[in-house]
Amino acid sequence: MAEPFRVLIIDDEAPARAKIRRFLASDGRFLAAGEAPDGTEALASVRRLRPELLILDIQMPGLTGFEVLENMEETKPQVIFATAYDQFALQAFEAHALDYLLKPFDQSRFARALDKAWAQLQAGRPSAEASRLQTMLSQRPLDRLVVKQDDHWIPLPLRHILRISAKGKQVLIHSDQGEFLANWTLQELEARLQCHGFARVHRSEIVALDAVAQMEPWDHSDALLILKDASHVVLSRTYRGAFLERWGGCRS
Amino acid sequence: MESSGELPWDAIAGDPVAAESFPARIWQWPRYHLRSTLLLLVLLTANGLWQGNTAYLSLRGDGSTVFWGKPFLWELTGHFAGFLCGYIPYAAATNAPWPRGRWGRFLLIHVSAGALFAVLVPFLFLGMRYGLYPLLGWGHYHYGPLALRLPMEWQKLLLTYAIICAGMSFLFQFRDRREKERREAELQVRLREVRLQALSSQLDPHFLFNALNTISSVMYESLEHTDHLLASLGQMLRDGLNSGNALWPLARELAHLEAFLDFTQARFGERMRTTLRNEPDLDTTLVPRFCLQRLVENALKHNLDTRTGTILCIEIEAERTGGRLRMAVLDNGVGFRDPVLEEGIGLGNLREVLALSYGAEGHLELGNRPGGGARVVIELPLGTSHG
Repeated sequence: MAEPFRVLIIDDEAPARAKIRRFLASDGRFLAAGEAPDGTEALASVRRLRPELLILDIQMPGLTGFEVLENMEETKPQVIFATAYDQFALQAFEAHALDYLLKPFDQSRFARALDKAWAQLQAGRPSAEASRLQTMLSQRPLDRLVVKQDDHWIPLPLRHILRISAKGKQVLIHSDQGEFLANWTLQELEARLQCHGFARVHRSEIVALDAVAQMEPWDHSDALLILKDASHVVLSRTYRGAFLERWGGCRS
Repeated sequence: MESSGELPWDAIAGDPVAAESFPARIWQWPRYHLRSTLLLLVLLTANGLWQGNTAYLSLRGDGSTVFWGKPFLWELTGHFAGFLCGYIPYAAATNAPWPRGRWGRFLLIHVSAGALFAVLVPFLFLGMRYGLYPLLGWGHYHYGPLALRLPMEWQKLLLTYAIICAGMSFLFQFRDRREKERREAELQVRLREVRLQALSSQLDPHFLFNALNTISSVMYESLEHTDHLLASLGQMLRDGLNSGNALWPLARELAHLEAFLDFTQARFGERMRTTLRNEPDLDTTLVPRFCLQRLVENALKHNLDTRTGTILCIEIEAERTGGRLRMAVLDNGVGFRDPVLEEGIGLGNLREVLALSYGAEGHLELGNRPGGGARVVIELPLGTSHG
């Protein structure tokens, strides 16, 4: 018989985890490799245990289930979502035809979800479901960014962010709570933060419109933006028109 | 959660506030009010008697030997005829209280109604006098030369007509304004009630489904614990369903909080601990429904993740200070970086409930403890029944 697939159970409730562990124990195809009570621990456990399947709660204190998925580094395990009541999550699952468990669920419903996950894991190649999952995550509205602070993941509300600059393959987020490196690309963030009051001002810079205190001319047709924290950012010709339209609009 | 903060506008739809006194149809017949009609009859009779007496005495003063009953009959028949025709200015004033830019209609109505009044009233009182004189044995009635008499009556009647219409128009305007004010005040009260209910009465559906999930999980481990949780859930559902008032006694809030804590304890087990200190004799004091539950919920929401490994301790206090009730929820979590910015929907709702229920007397204060952790305090006037 093949090795059982390793499962990580992520749920903030101890009894709920115990129940899932109990259900998993009766299925020889899977092995409960570990548990995590919140998103931060989940990310650490994923790195350590490299599970093949996540049973993932959406609403958790700290990081949500979606934020856990977005911040996992290289491992991309199969996911079974579980949620008690979350309008947005349910809409997103329906819209992208993703399977999910509604709490409370019984053993037979859980077994069906396991069967489906097992079939996909057996197939061993990136499934259509996995790509639909990626699409859903990329379309999810961002109301905060998850950043790493001394080996610890914390959510950073958008209102704390002053600007974001490209730094190698990552981005550096400048906030009133310090600077954080995060695994995003500037293009991706530009697209997803545009409707939240952020604007691209330079090839390697996004600023929060509210954080711009003042603008001064600089050489050529570039300009210099002075932010609330007294830092300076170059507003390049390319982005000047679009920026001024939104910055002026937001100040008038 | 956001949706529970919305106002159920349908519940208060209905009467528009500003129903103008503009007649909606081209013409409407005003209704008779028995009481006002009788009152008018009494007033006019009294005025008729007064005028009759005046006429009699002044005639006698001029040397006339007229029989005393005649001046009284003249005045009373005049007033009574006016009473019978009073509906004419009433109807005219109802339909055209003010020109409001439609002078043509206003003048048409009042010129016709005024003319009708001025013709009909003499016609009626003359009829009465010609009929009553022979009956009273006073012989035939002589009105005198019409060319003098009628202009005399008309100038009196037209002025009377104008005074009646103006008086009624002002009365209508006053009545409409008062009615509008009353309706606006009523609407304010209803809005406040609806808002309070929307803010305070609902049990969060997210909590409900999580509670069901907790029960379905605990069930595999302990039947007794499951039974206890079902009782607690029953209590919470009852508390959520009996949503009459935004305020309820502290004893019920504490019972509700205990049921809520049964679930959080089952869900988070060793990761959290709670202590409750409350002064006796405060049981009947009214507090906003679910206020302590919300504060504890808030403490859990912000603190359960970041301190994995540390036990979250939540202290709940209720005490009397200087004639006021002070409730505090303290924790050893991360605290507030910026209380103004971090006030979420839950605390914002609670602040609104306090403002709607107690005005300036209710306080919600978010702050940090000296040793770290958040400290949220509610202060409100002591009261066992709130108006």
